[in-house]
Amino acid sequence: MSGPANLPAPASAARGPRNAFELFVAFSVLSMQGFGGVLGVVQRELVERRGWLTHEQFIEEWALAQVLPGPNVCNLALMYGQRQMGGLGALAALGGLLALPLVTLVAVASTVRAGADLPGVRGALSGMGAVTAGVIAGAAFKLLWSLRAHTLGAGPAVGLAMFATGALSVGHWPLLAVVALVGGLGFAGTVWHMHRGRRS
Amino acid sequence: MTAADWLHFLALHLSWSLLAVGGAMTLAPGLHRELVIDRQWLSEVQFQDCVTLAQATPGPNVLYIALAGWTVGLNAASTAPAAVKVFLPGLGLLLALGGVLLPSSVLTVVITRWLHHHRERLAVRAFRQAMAPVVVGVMMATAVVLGSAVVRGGPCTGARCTLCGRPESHRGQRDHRRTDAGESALVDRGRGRHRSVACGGVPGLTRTRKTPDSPRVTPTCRQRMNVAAIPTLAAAAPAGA
Repeated sequence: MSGPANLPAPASAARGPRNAFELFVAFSVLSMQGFGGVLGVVQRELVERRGWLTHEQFIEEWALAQVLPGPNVCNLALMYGQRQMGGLGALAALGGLLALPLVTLVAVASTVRAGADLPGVRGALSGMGAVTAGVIAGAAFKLLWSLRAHTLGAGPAVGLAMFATGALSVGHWPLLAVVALVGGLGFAGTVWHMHRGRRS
Repeated sequence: MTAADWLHFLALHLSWSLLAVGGAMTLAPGLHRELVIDRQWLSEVQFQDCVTLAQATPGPNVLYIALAGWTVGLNAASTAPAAVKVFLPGLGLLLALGGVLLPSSVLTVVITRWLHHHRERLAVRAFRQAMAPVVVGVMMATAVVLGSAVVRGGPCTGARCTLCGRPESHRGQRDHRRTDAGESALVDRGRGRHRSVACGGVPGLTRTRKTPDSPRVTPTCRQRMNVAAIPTLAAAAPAGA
């Protein structure tokens, strides 16, 4: 991903899926664990359990997936699959992400009527919200830790991240504004750093 | 539903695809407006069920769109000729999910290939690095928002009384009570606070305002809840699917 053009695979990625089926299975397993939000599970599976991506690579992929239109976890699957195995990989990854949950969902919907007004449902959703919050918080802290090797330097990178966090959660700025502002600052800073690195 | 209706259904989903920046739940209000209110292909309760079920089952939340399509097909099948009946739910599901995913997926794949091809360019490398702090910030904000919603005591459904527009309160779904007739009445609790969650994938763009003192039950607000906003705070968080 950030290696020289003539290497067949990024040297920093430890392993990858061996074939499209394995990619499909990996994303299926991952997806079925994600109640209320798959993204934290994606990070845990791909980076920590399987070692297919490093933290830094995950952040880069995720950033792009977030910015592009469409569900960010679907974009992530497409991007990762496409990197591994081209169009087939993209389909395999997205298919894995969606197929089993879709079948489950239709099956459940056909048999159960889970209205938001049923007594247990609110509690269940609230509980899932708690778990999702925890998983995402864990993932976020691990990614924060990985920022210390950032081009901008650990201080500025973490500072930008904290600024974004505060702006979004406390200041309630719109998402796009924060992404544009912090992303723009980060971009300017990174370009400047890289230029300096090139010239010296 | 006629063939033209189905084409319109597909066209709607295709048009929404590129607008879903920040997640699938940002499309919920538009979906609701078109499918439930304007076209009445889906009932209020069915739509709510779709969203709730999609969040309760494993997998990305975008699947609520697929389930809505399935339900639209089911509804259409009730008035369709026998030969077509059995295919309609599946058709609805495919058109909905395919329509909403196809344009954005194509764009993603094309851009990924372009970036990979040009990955040695300074601007490309800088862009990828530059987004890292943003990403971490967004994830942490999501965790904060979700966590605080749980602490406050349950998700905010974002539901509003259709007449007065006042949102359901966090501390009390008691504020919008169902009367014996099954209708919902706005019960004012004096100086309680209301919070509202805006649509658009924003992590809880909450506004706090004090309610004016008013009689206990507002007689004008006897309308069924209209879920026009994102059903749960978890869904409103940006790092959801």
